[in-house]
Amino acid sequence: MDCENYKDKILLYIDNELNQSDKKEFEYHLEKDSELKKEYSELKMTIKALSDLPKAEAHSDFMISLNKKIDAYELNQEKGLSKFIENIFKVNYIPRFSLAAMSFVFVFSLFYFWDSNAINSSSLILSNSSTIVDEDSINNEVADLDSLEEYLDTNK
Amino acid sequence: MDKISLTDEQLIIAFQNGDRDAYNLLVNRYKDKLTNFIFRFTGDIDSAQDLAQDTLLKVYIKKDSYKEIAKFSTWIYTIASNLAKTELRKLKRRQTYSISDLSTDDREFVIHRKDEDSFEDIEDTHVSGSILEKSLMNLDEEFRNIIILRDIQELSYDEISKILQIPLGTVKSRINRGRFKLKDILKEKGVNLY
Repeated sequence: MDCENYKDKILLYIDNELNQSDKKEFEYHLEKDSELKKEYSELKMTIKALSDLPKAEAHSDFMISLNKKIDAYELNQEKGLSKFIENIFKVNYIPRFSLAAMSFVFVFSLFYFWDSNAINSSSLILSNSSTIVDEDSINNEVADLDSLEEYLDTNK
Repeated sequence: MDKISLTDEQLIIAFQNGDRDAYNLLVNRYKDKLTNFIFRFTGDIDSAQDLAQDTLLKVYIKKDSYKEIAKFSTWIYTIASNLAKTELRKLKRRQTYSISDLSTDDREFVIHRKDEDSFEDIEDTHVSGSILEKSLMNLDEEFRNIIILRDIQELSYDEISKILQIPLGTVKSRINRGRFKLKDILKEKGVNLY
C-alpha cells in the first residue's frame, strides 16, 4: 500500500482508534516507509505543540462580571413585569382602584352566573328525569287497563 | 452528598430545580475551558472573556432547555461555538470596514506591517507558541474550530460531531485535513517539525 493510503490512517493511529491488527500493519509500514514516517512525526509534533499551548484562563474578576450580567438580566426581567402591569393600568381617565373593583365585580358576577347556570341545568335534568319516570308509570297503567279490557272482552 | 463529586449533568439538573450553588460549581468548572476555547477561536482575549460569560449567562437563562439525553459539555460548547462564530463574523466585518476606510497610504502601511509579522525566514527546531497561534488563526474557520475542539480542548469525535452538528465521518476527515493544513502552514513559516 502506498503512502497516500496510509495518510488517512495516520489520524486513527495517532488518536488510538485503529484495531490491533491494523495498528500492527500501520507500524510495519511506518518503519519501512521513510516518507510516511516523516509525515507521521511532523503531525505528531504539530499536535503536541497544540496541546502544549499555554491555556488562556478566565480573569480573576470573571465571577463578579458574570454575576453583574445575571443581576442586570434579573432586574430587566423584573422591570419588564412591572412595566407590563403598569401598562395595564396606564389608562388615565379611569382611577386605578375603580378599574380593579370593576374587574373584581366582573369576575365575581362571572362566577355567580356560571354557578347559577350550573344549578339550573342540574335541576332541569332532575325535573326531566322525574317526568320520564311519571310518563313511564302512566304508560304502564294504560297498558294494564288495555289488557284488563281485553280480558273482560274475551270472557264475556 | 458532596456537590463537588456530582457530574455536570447532575449539577445542571440540581440548578433546574433551583439550586444556585450547583450553577456556581458549573461556572467554576467551565470558565477557564470556555475562555481558552473562545480565545483560540477568535484570537482576542477580551472578547473571549466576554463571550465565556455570555455562554454561562445563556446557561443561566436557558437552563430549562437542557435535556438529560445530551452531555452537558456538548450543550455548553455548542452555545460557546455559536457565540464565537457570530463574534468572529463581527470582528471580520469591523476589520474589513476599517481597512477599506483607510487612504491608499494607510493601506500600504497595513500591508507592510503584515509582512513584518510573517515568519518565512525563521528556521526553528521547536514550535514557538506565537508562531503556532498565528498559524492556527491562518486556518480556515471550519478547520480551526475542529482542531481546537479536538487537539486543545481534547473532546471526543462523537462530542465534536454533536457540537458542530456534522456526521462523524466528516469530523474525522476534517480533523485529518486540518492537521495536515496546519502542519503545512508551520512548515511554510520555516518551522522544522521533523
